[in-house]
Amino acid sequence: MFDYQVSKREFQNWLIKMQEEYEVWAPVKVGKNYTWGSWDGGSFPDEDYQNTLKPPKDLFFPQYEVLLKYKKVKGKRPLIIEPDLPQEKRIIWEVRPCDARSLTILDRVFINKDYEDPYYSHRRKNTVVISLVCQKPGLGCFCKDPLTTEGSDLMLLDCGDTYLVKLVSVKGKGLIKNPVFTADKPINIPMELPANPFNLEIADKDLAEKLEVIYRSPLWRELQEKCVNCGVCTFLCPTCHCFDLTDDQKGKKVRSWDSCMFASFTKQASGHNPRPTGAERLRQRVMHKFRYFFENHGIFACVGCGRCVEKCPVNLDIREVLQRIKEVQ
Amino acid sequence: MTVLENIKAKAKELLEAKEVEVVIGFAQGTLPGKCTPYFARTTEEVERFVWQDGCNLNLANYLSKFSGKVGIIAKGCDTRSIINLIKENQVNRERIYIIGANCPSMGSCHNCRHPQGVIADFYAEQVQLNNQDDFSDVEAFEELLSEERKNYFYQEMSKCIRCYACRNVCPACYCKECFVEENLPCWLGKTTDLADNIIFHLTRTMHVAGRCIDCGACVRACPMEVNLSLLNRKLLKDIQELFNTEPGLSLEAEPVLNEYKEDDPQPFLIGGEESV
Repeated sequence: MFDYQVSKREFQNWLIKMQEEYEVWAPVKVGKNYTWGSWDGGSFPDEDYQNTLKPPKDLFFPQYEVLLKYKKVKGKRPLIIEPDLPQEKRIIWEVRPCDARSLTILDRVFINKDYEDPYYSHRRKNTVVISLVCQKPGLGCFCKDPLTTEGSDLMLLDCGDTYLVKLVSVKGKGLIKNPVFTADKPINIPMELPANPFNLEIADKDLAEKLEVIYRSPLWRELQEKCVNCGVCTFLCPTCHCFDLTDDQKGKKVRSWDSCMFASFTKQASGHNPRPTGAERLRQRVMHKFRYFFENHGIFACVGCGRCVEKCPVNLDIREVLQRIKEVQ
Repeated sequence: MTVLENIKAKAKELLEAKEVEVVIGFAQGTLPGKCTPYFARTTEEVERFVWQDGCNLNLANYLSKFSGKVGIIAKGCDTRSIINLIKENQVNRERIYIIGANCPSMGSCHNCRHPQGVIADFYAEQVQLNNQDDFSDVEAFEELLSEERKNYFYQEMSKCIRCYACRNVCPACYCKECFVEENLPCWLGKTTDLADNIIFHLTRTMHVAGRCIDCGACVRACPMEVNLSLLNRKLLKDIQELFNTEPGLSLEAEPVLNEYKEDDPQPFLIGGEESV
């Protein structure tokens, strides 16, 4: 059920109006691919827009950022210079529902009762997420619910010349004070969405339970045999959030994405690595997403966006990996 | 018999005779047009092999993963990488059995000159192909103004997300620890800052200079579609023009940059053009 129907022209005008107060981000076509960029005030996604190459994760948890700077002061403790926290108000729109949902997974990591990451949480609080329902699945897609509203503030459904608009969050409702959007009663989805297009029921509770007992299985060695341990799957993943902290020579402490696929991941100062081969690394990736995160938060750290499936250089398909795990007796 | 039938028959024969423990090849992938590396250890598993468009990784990359005797289905570029790996003492020739076959992905690489195996213990097909690499892409780029070339590289390098897929699918990139991962000293920031990205790619290009055989695996592996081939191909073109040679074509010839001769051309030095 959606709340409003609005012509695309009216929606565009509304969004242009919002640009007075917000930076508006949208998928921008570069070559054949879409990347997150500043909205030009006029473009709508092409029919071939499936999703952005990189997920919107970057907009909240950038691939690298300076957490603080420090200066040595002779005879005293070092002087610490903290950066200003991000204050820009942003709207990101045409986010796919899987990616919007991924933000609720990152929220659990960066904004929880034990710890709140100020960099992430400032960006998150100042950003409105407007999602756009998928109407045709990509080749690697395996989300369970293409209409999920989790993580969205508003949700759109493309109906040709118009959008159906669903108010999801208080933040979203607050934006629609302006009465360009009118509706008498809730609107049903007028078209047939592909019937369960993405419905690959791979990740379920049985999987988490199976993972508990196959930690030492020889299966990991077999599954990782073709893996080249690059970071494509983790860097393109909307939910992977492991990071590394490094100090540069000029007194900057930098946080940058790390990847459990890398040989240097969790390598200790002694040179010892508790995950010495690809088998332990692949296991870590799968266990983190489908067991540890499930145990800690009750959900899987995977939204089925399919980027890792489509972009893996050796076609190590996570759907196949999960299937193989489930088949272990 | 088709090429694939020849490949399968030979692979089965090798496994049955226990001449090899495993045969490295390709199986059907999970996405249309994609093939995936496959390691057959039994004659039943050999049935999963395919040889078709999409078998475009460089399988030589996997040889170091195995310690026993290994069979490998190798197209032109795989065999050239194998030659380099043997010469660089990374692979023992006695330990591998090469099943040579023409590259089934014709058309995907820029004017590939060597689609057929350069060395093999068995050829699954005999057709010899003759293509010419004209380096017209490099020449066209060389014609641009330096500012235009710089802008193009900046644009390409800024797309890089430092996932290292290019490095990790490359058979020539076998360093146990890459300079980008060293942190004492930290040669390179762990960022996607343009300067860091450029240093990574230029260093990698120079490190594989004279060894890169332009298989294009890095280009296909790149999720961000960075044009990685131009720098490598420029070096290939220079090597061809200066030394009249191509890497990975013979087991005997010394790798081109391993050798010094007094009359080596050195047009990159001031006054060096005279020596050409």
